[in-house]
Amino acid sequence: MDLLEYQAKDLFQEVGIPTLPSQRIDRPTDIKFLKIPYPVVLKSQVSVGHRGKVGGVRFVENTIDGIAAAQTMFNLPIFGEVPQVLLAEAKYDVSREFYLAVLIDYRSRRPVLLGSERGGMDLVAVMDSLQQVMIYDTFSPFYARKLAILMGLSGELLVQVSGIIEAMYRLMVAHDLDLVEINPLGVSNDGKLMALDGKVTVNDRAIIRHPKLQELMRQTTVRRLPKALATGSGRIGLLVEGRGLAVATVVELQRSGRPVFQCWAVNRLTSAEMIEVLHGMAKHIDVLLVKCHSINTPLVALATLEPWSVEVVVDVPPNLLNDINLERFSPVLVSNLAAAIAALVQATSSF
Amino acid sequence: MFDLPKSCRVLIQGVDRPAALVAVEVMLAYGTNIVAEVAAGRGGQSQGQIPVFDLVEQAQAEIGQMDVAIIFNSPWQVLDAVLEAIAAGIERIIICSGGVPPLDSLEILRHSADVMVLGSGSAGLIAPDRLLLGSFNPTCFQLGTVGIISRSKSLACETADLLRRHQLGQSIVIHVGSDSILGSTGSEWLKILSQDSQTSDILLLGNIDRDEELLAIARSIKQQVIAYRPQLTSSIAPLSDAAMLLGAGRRSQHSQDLVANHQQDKRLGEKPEAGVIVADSIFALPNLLKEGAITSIDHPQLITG
Repeated sequence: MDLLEYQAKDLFQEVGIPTLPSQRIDRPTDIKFLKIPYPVVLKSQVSVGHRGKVGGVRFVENTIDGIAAAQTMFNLPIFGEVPQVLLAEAKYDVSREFYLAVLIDYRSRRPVLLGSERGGMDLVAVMDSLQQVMIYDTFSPFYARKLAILMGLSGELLVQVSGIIEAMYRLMVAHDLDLVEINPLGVSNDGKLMALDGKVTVNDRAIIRHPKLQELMRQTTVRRLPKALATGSGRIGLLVEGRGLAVATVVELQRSGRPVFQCWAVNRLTSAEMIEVLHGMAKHIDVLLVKCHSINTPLVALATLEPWSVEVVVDVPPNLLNDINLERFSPVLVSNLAAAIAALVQATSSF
Repeated sequence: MFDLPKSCRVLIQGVDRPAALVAVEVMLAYGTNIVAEVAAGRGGQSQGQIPVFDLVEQAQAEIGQMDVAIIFNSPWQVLDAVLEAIAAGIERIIICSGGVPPLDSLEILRHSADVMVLGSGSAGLIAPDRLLLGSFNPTCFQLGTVGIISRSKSLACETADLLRRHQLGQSIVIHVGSDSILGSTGSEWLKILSQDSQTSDILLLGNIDRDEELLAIARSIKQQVIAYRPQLTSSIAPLSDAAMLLGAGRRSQHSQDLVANHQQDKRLGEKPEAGVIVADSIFALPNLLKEGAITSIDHPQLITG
């Protein structure tokens, strides 16, 4: 899960990564009590990136402008996510912007340091000049200096930037993070560095051993909705156990000329989420496939629904069907993928 | 790990987890020789005939050397469980728990140079009629000569079921794991399976990285290697900028054209690769296996089912 910017900066401060004076804004009137001198930057605290392009970052010169801007921003969804919190921050004049990230490269199974001397919103520019350093054994600060040199830095800037990379790495290890990213790292005219925006991805499974992160996460009021594995223009809904098989089912249906509406890999869904998913699909699909080999929670969820007009195809071992009354759905029972696809194709052929 | 006899001695760690309870029952019914179990705080108890210990070393002192450890502990306790098994000299470790924090996975890799680790997030392996280690449901499988290396448990079961209906069985089925960082890769298992005299063909299922290393192995072995990797046309997996940049950076070693790379990712089909026959439908697999040497391994071709 991604921390919000103000939470990420909280962690940055812990390891000495420089951040601007800032203040958390929970409602527009909080602007009246700003302790930071104007001009001020207001930033929507959302977990999606590139908010600057859609009105999620605004400069204000005084309290009246600030309250008006805050009011707008609290009601402006950023790629579907409405901010619960804004961050007010001092304005900072930069002469250059860098990109820095520390993460684990799953392919090589090693931590990797990324850096670019052209940070900021233009990712193509970042990519064109992206440098990377793989950590081959135990991390040591020379890896960070290596990256800074690859980025073309020298002198005092080299020392300072590699210091920040080192701090980012230590932060990742100390908190079991999946990703620590600073973009941009601003460089002022007099050569001072400042983490202007940051992203920290917390490892959901490791959070249990980090009380500080748990505390931060408790403040987050953004609810993450589970996402469908695949969406399309069709009128077929799929609830499949296992991601690999779910993808295969979508692909094979596509080959039969039957795009899906949504496909969900159901392993991680709670019963409540499953019911929500079924409600969400009901109006958009003509036929639903439930395909599981070891769980029957999708069927249990289905059985709680009001009667609906959707045809139901079930591919679940018979022992998992006991005690579930699906009679009113008159489901088509099948026992393998080929039969399931044939049933779906037939169900959608009359439309 | 696949050459273990039916009588190999198995230790279960984290046996108090729900997934472990189910898997242990299925394994015992299949004849797996579980000799000891470990769950902190449950030492001195027993589950059926099997004694439970607080520590692996206590189990070892009482039961003697064990061949395989199967780990079901909570994801954040897996590293500890692996280190404990290694400290006790167990050389084969299967991590069934999924979602192990990546930094822990790196630590596991660092300590397991002399140990075979399968997973994390693995259903383990099954050699039909011989050996069940992990959480596979044995009813999907039957004895035969096809070796399966899968990145997806569900796809392995469905494919085995499909093969069964075409009178094709498996010599061994291995689930390398669902986590991002794995103790042993598809390439390593391909090498191991190629040395198995019972295996005539090898299926690679799901997202097994077909890098140069794997293709080189595939070209050098006597078995026919067939891959099936269904992919969605439009990826909706949210990639962080950093992951995207890293991926693009890696690809751009071959091509500087970002746009072309982007499109290539979204294609439905895949490039045929020398050494591996790529099936674009799961239903093409039985025929490909039956036709055997219809195609020279050196001449790549895309098979449509």
